[in-house]
Amino acid sequence: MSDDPFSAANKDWLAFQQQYWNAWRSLGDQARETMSTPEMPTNPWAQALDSWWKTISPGTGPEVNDFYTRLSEQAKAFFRLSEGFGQMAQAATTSGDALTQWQDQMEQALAGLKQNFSQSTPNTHEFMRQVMAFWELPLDTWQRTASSMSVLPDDFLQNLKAGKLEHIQDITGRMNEFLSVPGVGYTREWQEQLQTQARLMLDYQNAYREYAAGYSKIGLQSVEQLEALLKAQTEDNKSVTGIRDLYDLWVDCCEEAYGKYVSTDEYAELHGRLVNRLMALKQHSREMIDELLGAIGMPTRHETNTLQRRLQEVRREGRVMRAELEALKAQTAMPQRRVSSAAPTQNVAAKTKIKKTRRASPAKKTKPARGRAAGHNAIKEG
Amino acid sequence: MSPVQIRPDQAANELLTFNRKLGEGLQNLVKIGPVDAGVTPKEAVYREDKMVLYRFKSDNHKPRNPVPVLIVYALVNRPYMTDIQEDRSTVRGLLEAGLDVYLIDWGYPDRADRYLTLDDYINGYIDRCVDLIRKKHNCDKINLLGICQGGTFSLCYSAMHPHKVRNLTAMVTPVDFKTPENLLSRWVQHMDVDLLVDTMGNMPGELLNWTFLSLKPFRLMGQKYMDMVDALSDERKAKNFLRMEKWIFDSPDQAGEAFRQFIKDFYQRNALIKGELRIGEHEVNLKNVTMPVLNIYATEDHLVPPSASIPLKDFVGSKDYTEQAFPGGHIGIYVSGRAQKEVPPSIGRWLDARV
Repeated sequence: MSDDPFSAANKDWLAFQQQYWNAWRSLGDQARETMSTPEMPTNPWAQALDSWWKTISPGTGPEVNDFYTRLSEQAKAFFRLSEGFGQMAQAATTSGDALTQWQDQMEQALAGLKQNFSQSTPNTHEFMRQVMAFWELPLDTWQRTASSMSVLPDDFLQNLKAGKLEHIQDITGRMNEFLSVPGVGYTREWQEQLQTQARLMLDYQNAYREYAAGYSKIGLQSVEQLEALLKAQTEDNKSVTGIRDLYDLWVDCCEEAYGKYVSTDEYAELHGRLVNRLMALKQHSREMIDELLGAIGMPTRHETNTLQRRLQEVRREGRVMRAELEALKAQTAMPQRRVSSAAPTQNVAAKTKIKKTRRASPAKKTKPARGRAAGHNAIKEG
Repeated sequence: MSPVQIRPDQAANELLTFNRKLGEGLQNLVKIGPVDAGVTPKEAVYREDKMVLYRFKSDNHKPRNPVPVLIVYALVNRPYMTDIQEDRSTVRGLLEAGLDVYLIDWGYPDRADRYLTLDDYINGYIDRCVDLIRKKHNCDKINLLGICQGGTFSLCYSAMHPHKVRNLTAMVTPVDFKTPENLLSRWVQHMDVDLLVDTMGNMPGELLNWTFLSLKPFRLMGQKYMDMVDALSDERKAKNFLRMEKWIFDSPDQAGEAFRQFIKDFYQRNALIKGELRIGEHEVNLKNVTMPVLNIYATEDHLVPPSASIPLKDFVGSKDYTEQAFPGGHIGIYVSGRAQKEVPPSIGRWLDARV
């Protein structure tokens, strides 16, 4: 294998990239004309990277693979960003690089972005995800986290993408009516459980929709921030000269807008609601699973919780009792120590007495001291 | 002048350079073997359940300070952050400062540990470790060095068992849990922690990770990886980065009951500074913290903002209180080059002056 993983692609790279950007530009024109979201062209670079990685990665460890996944996601996001802004730059360049024309172009593009953030339809969500590279990064991470905590196989939460939730609002009312129909017959209670489950799922979906809507605000504010920064740069006669600089600027804008928003009470409430509703849903799921497990004679979560709690209580009590025992042993050992360390005349007297009586050896009475050390078995030295 | 001066040919060149760097870096990545962390030799001196008490060994530096130091790390993430690599090790710095260093590793709690409480952790595990060290060194009191949540635990411990602590060092330790800059605190105020713990049992590490990364998502989940593309061609830098990545995502689950108590009592009720905290049968009165206190905080800390740590001076009963501000972040205070030069030596000097 060549040392250069992209040797094939490098050969025609510029032409390849030019062709790709042309495709983007035409799609951008199409989007502006129709206000719809066209299907994005597949980035050949991303494909090349993934194919190459697949051929060499089987021998790598999990840390390296995880790292690659995160790195490649960002690299792809970086490319998407460069493509989005590349269109603007290219349009400006081809039109003579006149400041007013560029500004018009930029304002038009930024206005389009803002409009996309404020419209919030399934298509625009997907469009923004592509063009703005990573503004939904925290939201995606939440999706993955929530899914990883699911007790259900092939988690339904994975399919709850922000854009797909918009339809839910329309049907929530009708669904609630339907879910309020009383259960009948032999399986009445189970039907009610299922209805509750469905209601909790809708509650969570609504909470998620509200939470995702908050991210649209962040997106909008990020664009406004970027616009303001670029305008300020124009006034200061400064310019962004590289894609990476632009990327960093965009990160700053997103981070600032995000930081402001997540510091608000509104966000704290949305965040709390999102977590609480997910937990309510999961708790109910677990209760239903417990019922099924109980029905087939398997140990339930509720039972194991009880056992674990009791075990912990017993361990705690055991430790307290052991400590009390040690204290008692220490107390009973103390008089003996006092006796053994008393004045020599007393010792002589004691020895005399022992000689006379030949009773129990004093050595035996010092045993508690050894016992105290043995009591430290609770502290097992490794 | 246009604010964006990126010509398509320049852009294409930049992307090409980026591709090359990425390709070379990824090839390097494939060659990297296992990523190790925790470099200083150590011996396990005590084990209980999943907890292990380690004593660090140093061939080159014999302890000058006769009072041993116990590092109490947080339950969140893993303690090898304090000893992550040869040239970035707080532990090594402390050994070089002439200290005899012990560290508590909490391990990875599982469902069997769900009912461990803060009382079990602080008046149980920590207290037994302290007793063992006291006995081993034949001393009445030892030095405690608490880190982050472990700092809060050490503070509570010192308030409940002041006769066993000679000096207390708190590093990036939250004390006032309801300051405006504390995003974590804001976010948990509306969370039903009872529902969370009753549902999940233990608090999943993934959820904690998500929360921490969400503090600065675009930098921590995005820009950071882009920065790495430049450094990936250097095997040493790549390995260092992967080591940090391993630590960041090595997030143990939290024992449910302890988590419930920590969030409710500390974050939601702010009971520690209100004097309303009880742990087990003990009342936690910070006025009992009469031993010398060194409070080290990081000025750029986004997890435990300085405003959460600085109030410590207003609540402890100690008349020997020292504050040290480190110009860096929550992690930088252990791993940055500057931290290596400044933080462990200053702890060593401070402790030497209080033997």
